[in-house]
Amino acid sequence: MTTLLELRGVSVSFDGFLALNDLNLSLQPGELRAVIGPNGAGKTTFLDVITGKVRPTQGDVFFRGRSLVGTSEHRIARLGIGRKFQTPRVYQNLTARRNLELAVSHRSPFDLLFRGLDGSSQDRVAHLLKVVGLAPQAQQLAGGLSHGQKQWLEIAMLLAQDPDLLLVDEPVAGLSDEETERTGELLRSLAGDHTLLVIEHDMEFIRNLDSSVTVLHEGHVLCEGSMEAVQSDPRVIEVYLGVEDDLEPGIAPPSSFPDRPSSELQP
Amino acid sequence: MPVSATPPAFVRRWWPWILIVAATLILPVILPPFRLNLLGRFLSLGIVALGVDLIWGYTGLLSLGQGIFFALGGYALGMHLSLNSLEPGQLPEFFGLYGVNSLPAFWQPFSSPLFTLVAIWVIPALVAGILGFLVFRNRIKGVYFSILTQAALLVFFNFFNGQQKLINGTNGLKTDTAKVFGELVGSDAMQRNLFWLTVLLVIAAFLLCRWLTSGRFGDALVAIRDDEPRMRFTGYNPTAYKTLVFTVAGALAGISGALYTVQSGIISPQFMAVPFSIEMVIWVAVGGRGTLLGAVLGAVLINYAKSLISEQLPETWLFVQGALFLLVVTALPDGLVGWWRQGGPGQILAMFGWPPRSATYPGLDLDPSMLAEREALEGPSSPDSGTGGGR
Amino acid sequence: MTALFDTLFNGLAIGSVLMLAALGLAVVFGLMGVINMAHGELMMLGAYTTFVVQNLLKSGPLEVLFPIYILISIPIAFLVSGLVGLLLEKTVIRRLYGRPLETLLATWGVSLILQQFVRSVSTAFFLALLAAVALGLLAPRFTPAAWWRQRWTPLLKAGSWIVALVVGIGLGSLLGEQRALQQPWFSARNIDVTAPEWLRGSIDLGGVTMPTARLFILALTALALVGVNWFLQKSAWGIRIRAVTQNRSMSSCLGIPTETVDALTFFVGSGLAGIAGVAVSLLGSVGPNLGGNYIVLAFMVVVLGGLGKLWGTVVAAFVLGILDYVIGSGSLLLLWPSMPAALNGVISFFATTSMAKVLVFVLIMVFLQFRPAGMFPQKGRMVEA
Repeated sequence: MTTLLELRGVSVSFDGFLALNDLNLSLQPGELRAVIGPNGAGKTTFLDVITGKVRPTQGDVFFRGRSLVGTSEHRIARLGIGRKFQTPRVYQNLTARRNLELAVSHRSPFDLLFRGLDGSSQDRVAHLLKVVGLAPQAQQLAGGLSHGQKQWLEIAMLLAQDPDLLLVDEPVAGLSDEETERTGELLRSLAGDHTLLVIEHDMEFIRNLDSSVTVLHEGHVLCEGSMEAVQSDPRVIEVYLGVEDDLEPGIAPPSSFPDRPSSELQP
Repeated sequence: MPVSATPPAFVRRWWPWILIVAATLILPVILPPFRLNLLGRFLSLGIVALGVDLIWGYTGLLSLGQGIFFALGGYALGMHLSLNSLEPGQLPEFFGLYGVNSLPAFWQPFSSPLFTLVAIWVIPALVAGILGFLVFRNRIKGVYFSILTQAALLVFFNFFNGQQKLINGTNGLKTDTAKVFGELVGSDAMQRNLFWLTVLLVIAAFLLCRWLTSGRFGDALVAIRDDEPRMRFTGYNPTAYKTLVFTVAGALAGISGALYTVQSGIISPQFMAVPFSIEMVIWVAVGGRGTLLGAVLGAVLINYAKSLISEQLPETWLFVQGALFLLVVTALPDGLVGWWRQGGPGQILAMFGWPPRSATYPGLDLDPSMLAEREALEGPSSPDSGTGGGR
Repeated sequence: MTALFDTLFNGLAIGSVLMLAALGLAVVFGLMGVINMAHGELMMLGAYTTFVVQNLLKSGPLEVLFPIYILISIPIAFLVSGLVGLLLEKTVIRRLYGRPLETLLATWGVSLILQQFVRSVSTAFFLALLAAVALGLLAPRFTPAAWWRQRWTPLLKAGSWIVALVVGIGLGSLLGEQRALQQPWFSARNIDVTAPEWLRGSIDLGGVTMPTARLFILALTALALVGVNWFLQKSAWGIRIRAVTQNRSMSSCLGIPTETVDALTFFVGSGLAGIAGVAVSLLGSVGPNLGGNYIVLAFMVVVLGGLGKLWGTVVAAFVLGILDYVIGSGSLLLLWPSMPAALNGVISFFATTSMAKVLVFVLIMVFLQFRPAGMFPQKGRMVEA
């Protein structure tokens, strides 16, 4: 099997600060991969590099063997890479349905002006609205939806785009337990047909995803493996909880990593 | 309850249009030529306002340089009119003042009416397209875009202002004395025809903008305004969209400038001065940005107010205009049309307690038995339970 | 060689005025992201303050101070423009943080009002204005308190201001019948500030004639620059300002009074506009439209330099100044007499003040094609957000 996505020795430097430092990572088609890491580990920059928002200072990114460096964001998106943002980003002044209609197909101005939405696309939109439970809110402005509904709308938009690779940044931040569970199910069901890369801080959620986990730290891959293996890795415990000296004796290994606010404080 | 006769659905849906059509039919008959001419001018400004609304109201691009395209359209027509009533071999008068003996090359094609009719909107569109592409390509947006368009405006202003020998500099070109179809452009009959033409073109421009903004293309514009990076990651290229609408707005500005020029009788670099282009923004803001009707309405209303105030108390106009900028930004962000659509008049009535605010169904709320029951439960309703105060 | 020095000096002189005009903008726009279209009018107020100070000191008890009136007017102009800026921040801009386009439009409105204000202001006008504002502000005091808790209170509020306005206009026209009160203070005509004697001459150095007034402006610019730099880098409040620029919520959590910081930043930026106004008044007669001549070029300086970098603003101002002079004066023709005819034609085509602006702006646009974030861009994720 060929690798779908590969990052080779990617470094990103902001005025001397290394947000990513010699990062290597590869994804196989159909894989579901979770990425975790403490604050400032470079998780979002990592997505920025893949989607073309930030150009790597060094190294290269390959998608299906093709280098993405220097390709603009919309071209990368058209190659089949979709992204969901940390905080839900939907078009506030359009209805939920129209948000999806924009995501579903036809990307040039002339298509939008002269070609209506074909039947199959309309069906897809209707179907997706049902999948994420937003059918009753289809005509409501997206800005007026609740936080959870916005999260789901954005996931639906990502699905409408039908990308091969889905980059999902904190899909369950601010969701209720039940919504979290449903999101997990949805993501798991997508794996196989799609390749998914999920960034999340909710360790319970990641455990339930039952996928391999990559730990980022200071812009570098710290370790990779199953959730259990990663969680018992002393290096991982160290970066999450500080140097061992600081720990009081007798503390059990944490069942879940300490949570942190969803709006990441950037270095 | 009083039974009021509800107007038919047709009237309720189309009443603004019915009013407008009626007004355009009646006004030319009842208005004296001078007033009609003013109205025609203001309506033609409505076209450039539509363009401003398209790029600012819908797409979020605040251009302070629409005067460039407006004046380019005006100059294109002005040049043609300066040429078309000349004897063969004759030059427009002003060239003599600067000792120019042969027509500059770029004037030549404007002697053709056909070329001019195309140039009026194609030249501004091209300039807008090139300028827009260069700016949007570099993802310059927000206030940077505004400042750059203003700088571009100054480039054109200084150029047209400084080139006496090419384009008559500060003095501009006069069109009053030119003849079209054997009739003086400044004559009453011609001006009335121009009024009709303006009305037609305003309607055409309105329909064009509505077509652009109503479908998925319009959705894409709003999406770019709301979250441009998100559009990129969905596979859209915002540069293409922005360049396209900026070009359309440029073309509209050109048409507007040409119409305004023939109705006011002169085109000069003053239309490329900084204040005029910002004024266009305030027309749209007062009328209601993001609503096409608001753009036209705002252009007519504000300019009418301007001419009225400038006639009576010229000193106060700048105060009024400045206050309008402040008012619109702080208190009336969606303009008059937006305020109307969001039930503004109803809110004012509600401030006086009419109709009474209802908790449930209005019918149920006004039911005498319900009222009696509520009175018993709550005691006499207190007047200051509510919405006063503001933010 | 002399021609080269001459060009350099004149370029620096133009650049230093630009620098002064842009310095305040660099503070306000660069640090707060607020785009103040009334900045030019604040400069104009500085120039008018100089004019007033000059006239006050011309005769009367303080006549001894007349020779140094220009030095006295610098701090006063700083205060006047700064206070007007402060008022602007407190009443308008504060409501519009985070909405730059709205700020732009609102401050443009303010600039129109300020322009017309200096044209129209007379004693009668001023008194009427004071009365109207006082009436509007005090209306709630003199009416039953219950009125201000009603559903229709917003209307009452608007209504009371309208009444105040009408009363003001009425009072103004009543007072205006008194000839002495009706006389405009400045009128729409330009005003002339006569430079004090010690600034009128010029110094010859190596064949280059350097007008003393220009040298004074250069020195003033240097001083202002050093002062601002010291203030931002070393003073406690400067450090607070920079902290708020970098992370507002964090600064707020650390106990920095962010609202005070905003007001102070705006005060300093506006005050600098006042100093620029003093400088400009030395260069020739000034009128109510003064601001318009500088505002766009000053913004270009800030954009070209790159936001948030004082150093970039300095370089950009002097580069633009030198370019403007070199192109506008056609001095390239003197420096290089044997240039090809075609080039000669192009250069003389642009060798007027207004055509030089055309070329300078075009060059700026071309430059921004390659470096959209200016000469010294900020890097990092902050910029993208």
